[in-house]
Amino acid sequence: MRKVAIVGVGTIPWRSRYEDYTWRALGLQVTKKALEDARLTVKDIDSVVYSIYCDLMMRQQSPTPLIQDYLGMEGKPCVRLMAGATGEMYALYAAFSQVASGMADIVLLPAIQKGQDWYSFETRSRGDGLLKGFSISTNTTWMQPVLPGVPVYLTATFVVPHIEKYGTPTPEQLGKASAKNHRNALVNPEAQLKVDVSAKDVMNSRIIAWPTTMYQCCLYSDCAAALILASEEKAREITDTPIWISGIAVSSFYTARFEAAALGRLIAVEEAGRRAYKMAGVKDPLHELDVMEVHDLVTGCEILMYEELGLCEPGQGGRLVDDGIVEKEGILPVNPSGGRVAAGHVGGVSGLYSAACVVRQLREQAGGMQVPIRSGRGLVQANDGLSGLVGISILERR
Amino acid sequence: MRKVAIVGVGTIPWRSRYEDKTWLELGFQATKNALDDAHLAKDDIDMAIYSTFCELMLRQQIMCYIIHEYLGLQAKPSLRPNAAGAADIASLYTGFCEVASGMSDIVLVLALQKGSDLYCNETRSRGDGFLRGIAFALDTTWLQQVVPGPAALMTASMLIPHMEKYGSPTIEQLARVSVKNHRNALANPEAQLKIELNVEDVLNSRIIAWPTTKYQCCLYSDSAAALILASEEKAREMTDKPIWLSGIAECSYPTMRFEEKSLGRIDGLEASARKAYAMAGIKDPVNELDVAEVYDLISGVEILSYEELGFCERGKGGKLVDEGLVEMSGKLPVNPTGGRVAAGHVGGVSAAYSAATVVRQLREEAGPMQVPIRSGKGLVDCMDGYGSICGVAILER
Amino acid sequence: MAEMKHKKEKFFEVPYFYAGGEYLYSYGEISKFFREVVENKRLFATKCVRCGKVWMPPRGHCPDCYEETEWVPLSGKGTVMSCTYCYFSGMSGDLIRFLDLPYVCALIKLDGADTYMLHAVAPPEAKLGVVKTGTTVNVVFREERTGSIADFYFVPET
Repeated sequence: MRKVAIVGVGTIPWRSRYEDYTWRALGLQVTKKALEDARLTVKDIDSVVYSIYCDLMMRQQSPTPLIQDYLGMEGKPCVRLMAGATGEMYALYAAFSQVASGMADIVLLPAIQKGQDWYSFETRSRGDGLLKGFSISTNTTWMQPVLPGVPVYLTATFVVPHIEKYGTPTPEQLGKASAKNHRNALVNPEAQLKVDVSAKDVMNSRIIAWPTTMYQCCLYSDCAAALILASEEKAREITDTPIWISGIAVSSFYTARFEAAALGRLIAVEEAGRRAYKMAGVKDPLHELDVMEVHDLVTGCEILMYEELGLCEPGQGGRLVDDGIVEKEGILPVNPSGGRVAAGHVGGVSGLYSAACVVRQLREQAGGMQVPIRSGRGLVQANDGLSGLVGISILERR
Repeated sequence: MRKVAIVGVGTIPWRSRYEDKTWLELGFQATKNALDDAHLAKDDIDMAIYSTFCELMLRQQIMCYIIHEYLGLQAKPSLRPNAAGAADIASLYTGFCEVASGMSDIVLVLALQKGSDLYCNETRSRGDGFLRGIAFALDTTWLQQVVPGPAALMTASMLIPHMEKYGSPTIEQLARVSVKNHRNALANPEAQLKIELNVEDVLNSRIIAWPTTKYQCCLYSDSAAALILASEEKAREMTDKPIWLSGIAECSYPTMRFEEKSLGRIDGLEASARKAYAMAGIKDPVNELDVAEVYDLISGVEILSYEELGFCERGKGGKLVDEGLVEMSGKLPVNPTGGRVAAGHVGGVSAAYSAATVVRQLREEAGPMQVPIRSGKGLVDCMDGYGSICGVAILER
Repeated sequence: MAEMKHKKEKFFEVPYFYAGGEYLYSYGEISKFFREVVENKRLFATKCVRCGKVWMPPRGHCPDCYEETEWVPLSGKGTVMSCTYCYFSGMSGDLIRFLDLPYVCALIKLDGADTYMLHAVAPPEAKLGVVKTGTTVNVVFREERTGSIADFYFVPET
């Protein structure tokens, strides 16, 4: 298996709506930026792997052939990976495989999604249109009619059973973790939401599904991001700071069979984490990682993730919040970009954005968000709205 | 790069509608058949790759995690490549990378699609619902309103310019290809359409987009097909007849730029063939291949494909038909299963089905469809209905 | 590095209805579930003929054994295994809008089934904590049933 590095990243600001650009234009922007960052041209790319979560939202089924030549990539292989709202991590996995196997040396990985062209004529709202659009991502036979949205599902299936078993996370801990991410976003020039909220503000915000409140829910955005992957040989020619993908894994654990063992557990996170750690040789993540970017679709899940990712014993996730371990000044900062509740979120893009953030952290180019880099390793995690599809990657600077 | 073999195949009959089975069951059946063929249990699978052209037709955005759990593969990795109607070849390509890189040893590639649940309330027709569904894959800003469907688009951008430039294929040659495939399907127990046709029948059938007539157009079906890929080490443990994926390539060409140089061509097919042949060490396809399954989305495309795949020079595809080279009795039988006009077709599945049948051919297990196996090499090609993504795979015993 | 310019001119937007989205959907091997809901107001689950595990929601084959399943009728009574009071109805369908807010989104273990079903419980009042883990619930079928899980919901046993 050849080694694979990230040699270029391109991101644009998170916005709730990019009304002035079509999806193709967003794709071009981030591709351009990634190529500039890597100092490469279109000709250097061997293969393109796309992450586009929901073609319907962009009013275009099968969008990939329609953007391939827009980006000047005609003639090259193109594949789009779909895995719900975490398609980007699966795309990263597939792109990794293409380089690791030797089928391609340099792979471009664009992620694009616009959600705000959806519209509910009934309530005259784009937000409602978007929610309706999302709903067909859930099992249309067995879930959609009873599920108004992702935060409800995550709360009922994961957060509440965990609280019942361990007594945590408490509302205060949820408030603190959400406040952490909002505070971190204040220094992220690309973040969509910049408000300085306290733990109390979070707890007092509108309740969605107890105990999840509004400030604990992810945002809805339009965005795009792109990465460029290269084989070891090419990476060393291209840059002095290749960031190696030393571990990568995906896991699909759909809780269609709801059983006691699955409640309160993010099993796919644990499974993918275990595989990724093994591949990267990480044994003590709390002390071996410098930074983590994880999907806080609801704040409760971020806290559960600390446990599933082996940062602490089961049931102790809340304590990491209380002790400040996951704050920016702590031993292992989590979500210095602001995470999904404050930086921005749209399925298919967020994970690649997280990867781009971790790349910049490890290169020590993260500006106001920079955390100390000691071991030179970071973790990127993304999952879909039902936490059934998870992708995790360990990035490393050597 | 490790070598990759196909050690198990599973197919189900092509039907225009499987009203008694949901898409989950179709996928399950194909998977079970493939596991039985490979003498494996589901727990032997390391990772699964799902190929579906259009999940909306399944009335389920994000189908991969649902089928994954339905197959009892919880927590294992899965990928779902999407490449319009060429999702199957893209899935095979992705599966190849997965094994070749060492990330997994045994990979299930499962292709499934149902189109028959779509419905057009206005005309009370499932067929119309389906056509509207596929039309949504056309550029909704620039093409959808003026193109009624893939047959019209392919005829206009590929067939007619080619005919005007080379005087070939002739109307008769188009009909002959259709007759060949319908006849071949009579021996295929899984084929959807089994009728004996002659040249007149084909030419007199309803005109879709001149000169393409009804019997020259692909069918619309529900189906599923599964392949099990394995690394060299595992393959040699499991079977005496591993069929190697010795060449594979996938390539995307413009659909938004209609330019002079693309008219009458299927650029992506030529490019993919070139790469796949190079990988497999093939220099003279007509003499080195024993069998080929070529996408005849319309009969004209099959003839143009002979040229793009290097079976003959440009403009001479029609001649191969007249000479009988591509018949069952000819030097290089093309579409012994009946192809897309007679066996069945749905985007995202057909190439996986073709690969399964070529595997059976090379193993000499194809029953009445068996062609002589001399060099032990076969070809599968794939393209989506708009000619924008193409792929070629070379299988070898 | 070139930054994106945000154009000031007015953009053009058009209404568009979801194309390719009309269905006459067939439930295939799980048709019996919906037929029983619509015609007989009964819930059914499927049981693996080999390992005996009873799956809810039902399915044609057991994913552990790859064997066929057979239908088993359920009483419609169940136990809440986890739930949350939900204050937000979204746009996913008429059942949620039919129930008042807050409603309870719950994972319910129906008696006779081994796996839980995600569904909705209508609490008797808006106070938190009346429906919780361990609460016994019973199924209620709606007047108009069309063949969807929105044709029924649950209420706590009094």
